[in-house]
Formats: sequence, structure tokens, C-alpha cells
Amino acid sequence: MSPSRLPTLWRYSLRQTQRRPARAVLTLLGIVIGVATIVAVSVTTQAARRAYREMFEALTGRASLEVVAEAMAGFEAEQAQELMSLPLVMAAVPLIQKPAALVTSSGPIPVTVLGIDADRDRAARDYELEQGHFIGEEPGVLLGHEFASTHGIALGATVRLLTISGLVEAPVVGLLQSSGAARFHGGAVVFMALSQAQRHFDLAGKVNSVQLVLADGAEIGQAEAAIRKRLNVGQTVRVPSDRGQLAQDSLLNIEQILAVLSVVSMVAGAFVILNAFQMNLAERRRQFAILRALGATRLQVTSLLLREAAAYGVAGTALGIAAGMAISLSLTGGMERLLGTAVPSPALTLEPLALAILLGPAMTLLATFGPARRAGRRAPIDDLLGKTPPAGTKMPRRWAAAGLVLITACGLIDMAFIRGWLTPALGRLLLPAAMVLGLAGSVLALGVVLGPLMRLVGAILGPLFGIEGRLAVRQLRRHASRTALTVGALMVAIVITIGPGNEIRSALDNLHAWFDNVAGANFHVLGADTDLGFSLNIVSLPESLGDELAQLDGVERVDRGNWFPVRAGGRQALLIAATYSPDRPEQLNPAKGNPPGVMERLALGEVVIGTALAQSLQLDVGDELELATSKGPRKLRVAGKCNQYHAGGMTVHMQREAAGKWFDLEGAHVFSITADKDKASTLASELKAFCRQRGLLLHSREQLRRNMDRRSAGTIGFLWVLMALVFVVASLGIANTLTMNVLEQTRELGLLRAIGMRRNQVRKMVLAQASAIALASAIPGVVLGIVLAYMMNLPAEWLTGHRPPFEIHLWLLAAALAVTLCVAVVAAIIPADRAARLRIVPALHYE
Amino acid sequence: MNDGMHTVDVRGLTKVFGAGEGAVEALRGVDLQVARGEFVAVMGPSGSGKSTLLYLIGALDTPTAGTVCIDGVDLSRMDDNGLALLRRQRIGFIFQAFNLLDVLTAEENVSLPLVIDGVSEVEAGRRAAESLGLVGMSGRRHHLPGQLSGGEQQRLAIARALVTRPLLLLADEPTGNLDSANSDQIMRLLCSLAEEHGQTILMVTHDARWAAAANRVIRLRDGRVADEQTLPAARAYPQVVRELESQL
Repeated sequence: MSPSRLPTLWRYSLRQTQRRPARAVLTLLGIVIGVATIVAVSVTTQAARRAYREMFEALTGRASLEVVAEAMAGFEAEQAQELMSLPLVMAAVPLIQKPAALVTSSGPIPVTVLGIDADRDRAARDYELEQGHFIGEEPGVLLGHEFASTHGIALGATVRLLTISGLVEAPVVGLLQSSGAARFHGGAVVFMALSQAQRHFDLAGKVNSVQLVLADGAEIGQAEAAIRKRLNVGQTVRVPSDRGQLAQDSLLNIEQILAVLSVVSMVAGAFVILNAFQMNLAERRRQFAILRALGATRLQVTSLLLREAAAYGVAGTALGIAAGMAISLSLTGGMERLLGTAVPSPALTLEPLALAILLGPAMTLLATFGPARRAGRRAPIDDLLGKTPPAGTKMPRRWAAAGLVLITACGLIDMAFIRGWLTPALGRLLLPAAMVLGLAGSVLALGVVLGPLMRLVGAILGPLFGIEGRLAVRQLRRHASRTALTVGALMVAIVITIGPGNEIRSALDNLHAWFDNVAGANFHVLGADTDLGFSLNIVSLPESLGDELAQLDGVERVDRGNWFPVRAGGRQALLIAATYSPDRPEQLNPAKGNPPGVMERLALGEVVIGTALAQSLQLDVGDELELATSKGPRKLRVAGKCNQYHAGGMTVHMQREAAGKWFDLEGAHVFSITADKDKASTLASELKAFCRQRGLLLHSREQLRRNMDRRSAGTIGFLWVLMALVFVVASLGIANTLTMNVLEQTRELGLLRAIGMRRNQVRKMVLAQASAIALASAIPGVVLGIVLAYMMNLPAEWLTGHRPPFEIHLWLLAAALAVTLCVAVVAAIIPADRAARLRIVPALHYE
Repeated sequence: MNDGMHTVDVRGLTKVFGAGEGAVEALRGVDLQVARGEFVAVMGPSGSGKSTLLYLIGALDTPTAGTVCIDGVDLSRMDDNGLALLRRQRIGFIFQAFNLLDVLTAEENVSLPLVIDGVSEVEAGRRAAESLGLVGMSGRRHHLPGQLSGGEQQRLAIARALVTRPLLLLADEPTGNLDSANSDQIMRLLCSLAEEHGQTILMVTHDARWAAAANRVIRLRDGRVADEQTLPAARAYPQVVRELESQL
């Protein structure tokens, strides 16, 4: 519909919007930033979660269940035949699925080797050949077409695979279309004949998975129960995608921070909208009075404004969804690095779409309803005659009252956390809500403290800015509600920089401290880089490698380590079996309050568990943990607890020797090498040559730490960008307020110029206003930021079982203050210039 | 009591602004009746309460005491929606400052009261064009207020006031922002509306020349009716002006 065909009142709204494009952009930005963050976080989180589901669905094809042994150990292949005899099972497909490393000139690439029975496998999976032929009994592998081309591997080429048997070579006999199982693990799949896989992975006559395609109409639960009766000790039947549970638990913390930030940026956006909308209304009071004089009812005026707000909401939501999808692309990249595995492209599903459609317009209408209603209820006569005081003079008392109610609600939720009245699941849900209530309440309640706050600001700025400073503060105090909203928006920006920023910084410091404790050895030799939670990249290496490494000159000791998913107390957890030395208790990063002698008891076969697992299972030191082992369920005593970042703290730690009793440890997953003193650098070059020759991955402790930082950089970068974005929007709010102030001060400025004030003094006065807003935002912002940081720190104990020590990073406070001041001064440049350039005579006649 | 004969019937109208020591009595028990088809001018010095009287009659403000009846309906008995409906359908306003919406074209401004009243856009456009024709503004219908002269803007405001065919036209210093030539044009227009169309007009002015166009002149002083004068119809402006000026 062309503008001329729109109804008259729509045309009025449209042209009014076109008249103030900057304000329209600011209002839209407020909505866009809120919606975009919600969408980006929701879509990315879903994509990461979908990664597990789709990955395992791609792998399992038509199979609904799989039978595996604990620690993915091997079992007799004939068991597939026995399972086939069950009436609910249509096909039982034997399979070996093992992590390995594809050794290339650029280093080892983690892959999953699928050993398949070519005849029986098609019952579960479809294969579409792009080139070459399917695998037979002879040596040869199939690769996904896209994966092969990405790594420059052609049909007929020979690939080198690092397995528990060492390096094996095999020709590429066929390339598959990138669909079905060839999409598993981001396409990093190598298919080979079952017999070949059995040979390369030391599983003669064995498989480590039987995938079950159920008969038509068979119920999974019923089938599961029937199958469970046929299982041997140490085996389990499960829905294949359950394997992703551990990865999901690992992501909970980062998801929590993202959720908090996304809702907080929504609040910041809402205040920006409220501020911009209030100014819009203030400027148009006379117009509404005209409409009322012409016979428009209160409801008609309110409806007109709410319709405008809704239009902004819809447009902002549409733009926000688009921006959110764009942001989620880079956030997904960050997640990929964090997880160490491919995450599917973000897709706008119903949930984030519904969330955006609901929240975008709702946030806009919520922020604008009050002002729109008040605009409709104003008596038209004063506005017609221009007798009303300038807009935003008084801060409505109801705001302060509502603010105090919200702060109280936030306090009550926090108290519920502290007293332990909330379950972790409810806590996760309520934590962002509590922070939103607290923040929104603080901004609304600003009116209560604005008077004393501005007096304090005036006292600080007075000596710096002189008379211009006093005039500036007086002008801000005259427009209490407008000032409060601008101060509020900037304050929220400061709060969300200091709050989550402080906690991110603390978490990183804590992560580094943890790393320094647990990665004590100088070098680590692995098959491939590990992933987070999926445990797809854990390449088993021959034990004999450890002996070879120990022979190298400069090696003081070689410790072997294994880690694999287990079921502990019914939950998925990561079992870490290592050589824990009694003289190095820090190796476990022990939690506070552990009794003495933990390391000794660990040596006796007890376990130490991650605090998140302890929290999740409500276990304490001395309790028994039920562990599903290869020899069936076993109850092991908990010797202590430790703070872990592996698998989000869902870990079980055992001495490797003890673990070997309960699980079939196939080789070692890592060799940690401690160098002789003063021989670390010479050993490094020897190790490099050793690993290059065998296709192994060598990481020094420093490299591992850099890798860890690189992995988290994408996600943490996103968080900082988000905070910066809120600052940008807040700065636009300041520019908006200052412009409005300059506009309303036109006559006063003309008068000041007429009695001799210089242009530079006028400029200084506007800059003083900006500085006053910055200072007024910073004082409560810093306090609330620290409170928010504490609030984010506090529930960690209840949510993850591990609360990093709370500390305030002073440099962060200083940086936030500096940025606030810079943002305010930059935002003031144009309004200050406009004020300074006012022509005196027209300014004196300005109405 | 209202006898039902008057378009406007004001009894004991009092308006106090503010409270306590700072209270200002703008009107002090004003009585006024305006008959259907009558053109009444309200004169008085600044602060005499003439604009306040107009706004109370126009249901833009509420009195402290007294009653205002429009066409027999007591405004004090109406809620806000009822008053809005009254303004929309029965009263046309002409303001000194024109009070046009500057983002709307002349035609859109004129059609606005109809649009607010729920009249279809097509019908509103048709009636707005008619109204613009009545004030000689047909050729400027697509212009924005900012593209028109002061006189044209006021003619536009008159067209808007007339578009709903109101019972009562209230004009607050309609020539206050105009030069003599434009003022003369506007007054001729108002006179023709009164004479040719029988439009009831209540006009506030401080200028005796324009008050002379009315059938009756009421003078306010310090919030009270100080004087009332009925003028003979069909007299030339200069003569009336001279008579009025000699009395001031």
C-alpha cells in the first residue's frame, strides 16, 4: 500500500516518524537489540542442542535403540543375532564406532570410524555413492564427498588412520554423498568393513554397538524392557541421542550467562524505547491536544500511540529476528570452537520465532503503555496554549513504587536461592527473571534517589565546569523523569558490563587457575584435539607408546590418562582415570571442605566427584556413588569433591589402576609427560619429531592453555560485543536526551548568549550535562553492577555445586567508568555543537 | 434553567486557576446566552477571561462553578467521552495559532475530525474538498500547512472547523496572528458564514474592528461581563468601529 493510500491517521503517524528519523532509529534499535539477543541466544542454544540430536540421528538412521557396553567397550558380535530373535526387533545391526585420527600433512583430524557389516547395515542406514564403489571385505574406506574435498583427499588416495593399533593405511574406495550417516560428526566419518575395524581396534570377533531397528508399531519403552532382559553384565540399551546429555550439561553454565545477558539487554532496550517514546510524546503534546480538541477521545489518542508503538514493535522485531540470525551465525562459530565439533547452521525454529514475536511487540507495548495512556488522559487546554511545563519534569511516584516492588521481588527470589528453597532447575529459570526484576526496579526507583544523586553530581562537577556545570545540572534536575530514564539506560549498560563482565573475568581466572592445577605436566600427547562433552574425539593410543615416550632423553615421568562417558547415579558423567599423585592434591582442583587423606583413599579405589555431579545427585563425602561399570553396577565411596570445568563439573575421578578393574580401558587417551628439570626445551624438539613420525598430536601446557582460551574466545567475544552494543544504544539515548534538552533550552540559550555567554561556554554546558549523566549513571551503576556480579556468583553454588571465589576486578570498574564517560562525551558532540551554533534572535523568539 | 432556545447557555460560570494564595479567578459568575444563528463577539483586555470562557464553552476545560449548556445539554453531566463526542460533532474550533497538524496536507487536516468520527476515508475526503471549496482553498488541498501563508492556514482551520457542519463555531482571536489584509479576508469569511449559512459563531477578539462584524458584542473585565451591546445588522465596518473605539 502506498503511503497516500494509507488511512489518514496512519499517514500522520508515518510522516511524524519520518520527521524524526534519528529518534525512530533509536526506538527501533532498542527493540532490535533486545529481540536480536534473545533470538541469537535461543537459536544458537537450540543449534548446539540440535547438534547432539541430529548427529546421533544421522548416525543411527532408522535404528531407534542401541545396545552398548559401558565405556563403549567391545562385546561379542553374535549378540546381534540373539537380539534379532526378539519379536519387536526388525533388524539388529552390528557396528563398531571408534574415535580415531586421520593423519594429514596439516596434523591429525579427529574422525569417527564406523565399522559396518555391508550386508546388514542397510537395514539401518542409507548410503548414496557419489564416486567409486562400496566397501567389501578387502581394505578400503569410504569418506563423505564434502569432507574428502575439504581435506584434499581424492578417490583412490591412501589415508593414514591413527588407531589403538598405531598408524594404519587404507585406500579410499568410494566417496559418499553428504547425507545420512556421512553427516555424522560434521562429516568426519570414515566407513570401513566391520572385519577391518575389528582388526584395527583390537576387537576380533567383537563389536561395540548393536543398533536396533524396531518392528512397525513397536513401542520403544516396551522394546527397551524386552531387550534389557537379554543384556549381559555391563551392557545397556539406550536411545542413541542420549549420548548428548553430557555435552548438554557441559553447556549449562554458558547458556545460563547467555540467558541472563539476553534478558538484561531486553530490559536495556525497553528503557531506551521508553525514553525515546517519552520524548516523542513530549514533543507532540500540542498535536494530541489538537486531536482532543477536534473530538478525539482519550482512548483514540492512546490507541493511536499504541498503534505506533506496535508498528515499531513489529518492525523492530522483524529487524531483530534478522539481526539475531546474523549474530547467531558468528555465535554458532564460537560454539563450534567451544565444543570442538560441528554445530548445524542456525535455523529459525518456532520457539525463538514465537519468543521474538511475543517479546518484541510486548516489550514495546509494555514500555509505551504508561506514557501513551497518560498522553490520552491529559487535559488538552494547557497543551494547546503551551502552558504546561516542559516534558519529563516530574518522575511519576508510581514508577518509584513499582521499582521498589520489583526490587523486593528480586530480593525474595535471591533469598529463596540462598535458603535453598528452589530446586536447581527452578533456580536456572528464575535467576534471569530475578535479575531483570532487580534491574528494571532499580531504574524505576531512580526517582527516589535522583535528587540527592544530582546534588552530589553537581558538587563533583561544579569545580570542574564552573557556572556551566551548575546550569547543566539544574537543567537535568528540571527534567527529572527524562534524566532518570537516560541515566537508567546508561546505568543498565554499566551494570551489565560490570556484573556479567566481572563474573566472566572471574570465571576465566578460575579456569586458568584450574588449568594450571590439572595440567601440571609439561607436555601432552594425544591422538586428536578433544571435544567438549561429546567424547567423540577421544582417540585410544597404544599403551606401548607410553613406554617409548619414557625412553626419550629428558623425560622424568609419563602418566597415562583415560576419559569416557559413564552413567553415575543414573546421570551421564565423564569418568577421568589418571595417575593421581598423593603429593600433588591440587591435580584434582579439590573443593573446599574435603577431609584429609583424599588422595590416599583415591588410591584405595574410592572416587572423587565433580561438584556439579555431587550437587545433581545430592552426594557428599562419605556417600556411595553408583557407577555403571563393565562389570555391572558398583557402589564406590566418595572420597572427596573437586571443582572441575570438564563436562561442566559432571565428572568422576579414579586412579587409572582402579578404573582398570571396572572398565575395559583400551589403551590410553593421553600421555602426560613431565620433563626433567632444565631439559624441557630439548625434550620439546625430540617430542615433536616423535609425534610427527607417528601422526600424534603434541601440546605443550602453554599450547593447551592457548587452545582453551581460543575455544572460549568466540563465545566470550560475543558477550563483550553484546555489552558494547548496549552501550551504543545507551549513548544514542544520551544524544537523544541532550538534543531534547537543547531544543527546550533554545530560548534560555538565546538569552544566555544575548547577555554575553560565548559559544564555547554553551558547548561546555552541554558537555557538562553529558558528564553529569555519565557520573549519575556510574555511581549507582557501579554499585548495582557489583551487586549483580555477586548475585550471579551466589547461585553458582546451588546450580553447579561450585562457586568461584567472588572478587571485584577494579580494572573492569575503571574501564566501565572510562567507557561511560567517553560514550557520554561522544554523544554530546552534536547536540553541543547545535547549541553553540544557535542564532540569538530566532532563539529568543523560539516557542 | 435552560429554556432550550439557546445554542449556548452559560450560568454563573466561575473558573479559578491554582489554589491558596496563588489562586487566580479567571471568571467570576458569568452568564451568557447565544441564540441559534447568532454571531457574538467577546471582547476585553488581556486577562479578562475571554479565552477561558471560550474554552469552557468548547468543553476543553471544566468550570470551578456554574453550568454550560450546549443546545440544551448540560456539559457537567457528560463524561470525557461524551465531551469528546460533543466537540467532534457539534463544535468547530478556530484558534489564533491555527493548530494545524503540520505533517498532514490541507485536505488531510480538514478531513481529520471526520476520520476521528469514523467517517470513511473516501467520504471524509469528499466533504473535506467541499469545505476547502467553501473557504476558497480548493487549489491548495495538497499543500502542507508550512507551505501556506498565515491567512491560508487560518482559512484551512476554518474549513476544518466547518467540515462537521457544527452547531457552534468557536473562534479564539482568529485574526491574532494575521496582517490586516488577511485578517479582513478571514472576517469576511466568518461574516458570510453567519449571514449566508446561519452559522452560530462565538468569537473572542481584542480588536474592535473585527468585533464590529458580530450581531452582539460582550465585554468582559476582570472575569465579569462588564457590558453587552447588540449591533444593528448590515452596517458598514468603519462606522461600527468608530462607535466601539469611542466607547473603549
